[in-house]
Amino acid sequence: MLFNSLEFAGFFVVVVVAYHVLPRRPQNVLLLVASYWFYAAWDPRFLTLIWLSTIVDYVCGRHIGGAWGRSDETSARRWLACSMIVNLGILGIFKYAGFFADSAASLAGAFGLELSGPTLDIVLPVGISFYTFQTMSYTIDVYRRKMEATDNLLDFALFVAFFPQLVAGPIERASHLLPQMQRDRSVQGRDVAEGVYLIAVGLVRKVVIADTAGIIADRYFASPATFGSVELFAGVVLYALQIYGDFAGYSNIARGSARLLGFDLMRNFQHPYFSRNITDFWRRWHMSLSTWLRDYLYIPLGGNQRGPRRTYVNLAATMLLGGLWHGASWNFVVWGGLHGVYLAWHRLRASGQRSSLRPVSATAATFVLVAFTWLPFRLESMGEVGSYLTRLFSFTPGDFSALVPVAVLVLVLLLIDLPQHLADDEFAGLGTTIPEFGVRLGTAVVLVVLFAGSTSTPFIYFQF
Amino acid sequence: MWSRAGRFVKLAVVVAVVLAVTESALRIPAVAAAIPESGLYYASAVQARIDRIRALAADGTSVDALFVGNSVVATNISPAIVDGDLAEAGLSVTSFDLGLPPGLTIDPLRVQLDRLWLRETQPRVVVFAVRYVDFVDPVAAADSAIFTSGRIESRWVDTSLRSRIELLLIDNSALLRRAGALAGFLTNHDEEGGAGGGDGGGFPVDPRGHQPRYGTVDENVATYGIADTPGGSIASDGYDMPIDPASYESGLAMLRETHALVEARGARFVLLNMPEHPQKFLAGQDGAERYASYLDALSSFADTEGIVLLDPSQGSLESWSDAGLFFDFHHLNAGGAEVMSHAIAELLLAAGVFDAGEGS
Repeated sequence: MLFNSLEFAGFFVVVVVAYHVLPRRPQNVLLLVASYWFYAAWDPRFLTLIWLSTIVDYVCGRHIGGAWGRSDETSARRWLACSMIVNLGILGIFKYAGFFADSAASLAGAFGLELSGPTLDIVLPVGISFYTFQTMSYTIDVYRRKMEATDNLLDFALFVAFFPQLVAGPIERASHLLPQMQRDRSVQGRDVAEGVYLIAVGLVRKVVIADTAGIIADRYFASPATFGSVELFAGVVLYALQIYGDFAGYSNIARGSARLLGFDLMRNFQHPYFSRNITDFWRRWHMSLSTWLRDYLYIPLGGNQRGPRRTYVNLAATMLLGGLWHGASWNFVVWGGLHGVYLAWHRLRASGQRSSLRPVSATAATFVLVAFTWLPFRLESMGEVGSYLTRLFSFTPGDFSALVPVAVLVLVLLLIDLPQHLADDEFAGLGTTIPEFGVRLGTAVVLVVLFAGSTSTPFIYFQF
Repeated sequence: MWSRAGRFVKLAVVVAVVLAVTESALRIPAVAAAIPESGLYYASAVQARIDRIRALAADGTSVDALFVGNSVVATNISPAIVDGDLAEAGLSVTSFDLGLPPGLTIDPLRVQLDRLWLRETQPRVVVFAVRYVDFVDPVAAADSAIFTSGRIESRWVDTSLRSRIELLLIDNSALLRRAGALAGFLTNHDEEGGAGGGDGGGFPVDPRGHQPRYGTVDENVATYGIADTPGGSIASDGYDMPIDPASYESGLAMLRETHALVEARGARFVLLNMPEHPQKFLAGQDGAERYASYLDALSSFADTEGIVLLDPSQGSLESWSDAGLFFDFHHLNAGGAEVMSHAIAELLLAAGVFDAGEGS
């Protein structure tokens, strides 16, 4: 059940209407049932994994909280370890087992050894990386005594499975979302307006920008040898637009849907392509993951408190693992590793210095760097990345009309993002009068219809 | 600003006004032409033919005769040539080629006729072309899957309430009929012919629906990768199935329904056997016998139904064996289409199909 489908629209309307006629406790029951229904629409078998994560982290959280009540740090640490082992174990088996087995076999092969074993062909459960990280944040925060363990299994189960952000985030912190499950919620007029606005912007980002860019970019990535440099450059930019529109669009719809139910989900994107450097980019791109990695990986590794050399190592390690979080492939490791190098390089260059580039040039340079670094993310192998770049930089003549869709889609993106960015207000597009917002909302509906294909295109981040 | 519920009523009214203005604007011919309907049907060739039929209507020309069939009809029959021959015989007829890719069989074509073409046009004659393979069930099953992939066609065959409501909305909304049109414009801007300009296979549609293809089988082997069994193996095309006249019955039943449908709409139904290169038959078992069995079934059907059967092969499997006339072993090239079109015109004249009440 995709956010950009009529099925979801029907499902959501039913849930919202039923939700608003119920008191809080039955509201949570309704949302939990709806969330499991939503997830089961993909594959009901993997509900068992969500239930396992829920039960294990609920129990571990209770025991960690109890251990701290007795000042028993050893016990608290053991229960945290139990939570980590189960969660990372689930992730390891379902997401990484095949990858590590293949990599080990390849490595052994390089030394002339033959490793034989059963072929692992495990289906990747939708959203496993998202909800696993989310539940891990709960037990870690209870262990760090940043929050109390909950004694309400229903609320905790809803925190793990809340359908708007279950399959592709934002990766919520328990300290932010769980209290919202536990208190009475009210939805004011402003919440409704902002929720509708977020959903509309999300649909435009997904349907108009991402899906259109994806259709064209797929053509260039499928057979780069048959296109010239202009088309291949267009392909790089189009994929950058696609992945941003796709993921930011999903996050918008998730947050808008949650807002209509009285929940506030954390912001996941803040106009990342307006970033003036790579550090700025990572403050604006997939913020729920980057802050998760910062708080639960980078800082525990020592962050920037153990000298410059260790800081660079920590940055690189964090970004490598951040890349691996996206998928079990060396391409993602390379993508994460490159960003780690950029971050370390920027830190080295920028410490105590102002950028010598003008703001527009710095933004353009950062965009180009990020866009080209998406290549290992998009293509199947590093060999394909090499072929694509070789062809692109061979400067073969191309068709300049390939830049027309790029220009149109960039314009649509600017119309959405630039007013928000300049006003430093995510809801700048709401306008100041109701007719103003109405015209914009109506225009968004028209655009979505005129760009919508006959089928709903899945979101890219569902595969992670 | 958002504290009172009445504000949301106002918001909904403004949104509705925007949608109504857009809907009205899309009904203005100049705007409608600038943003053409697209992506409604299983193949862009359907939309291309709708556009051409509407262009003829805009010029005050009504369609008298439809040649209905699959891509073999699209490539093999040039209405302009047929009409020219009929005009020389003193008959003023405007015909149109409704050959639709990729190899639709009888039932999807019947549905298309019923739900689309007999509503877009009011022809006096429908010439329905069939080949042997159109009667073979496995092919029909595969083609129906392609057919129902379209936004419109899938709702024609799905009779659920939801599907009917969606179809009603699409039928009556200029905006919904253009769903995906702008994406189609951007994603196809660099492709030859643009959205709806070809048939999905890159062959342009002429103003009368004909899609000529060029080159001979030999020349096209390298260009198009044509092998001895174009379009699939002999087995999958049904050329080596046991010869059993009873196996034609489901196909004939569909033809019977089509005949009844066409007559109910006030048009005359004519059956046309569309010959192929004999290689396909001869590569399988008992090719000549298979072809004769198929023609017998058509002939019996025509006699029973009281309709005219046109057979450009004149009962002979070998009559269309000149490979120089073929693009591949199914489709004629432009030269072959010219020969075929003259032959069909001659058969139409001989059968007196347009003798009564002709002219437009």
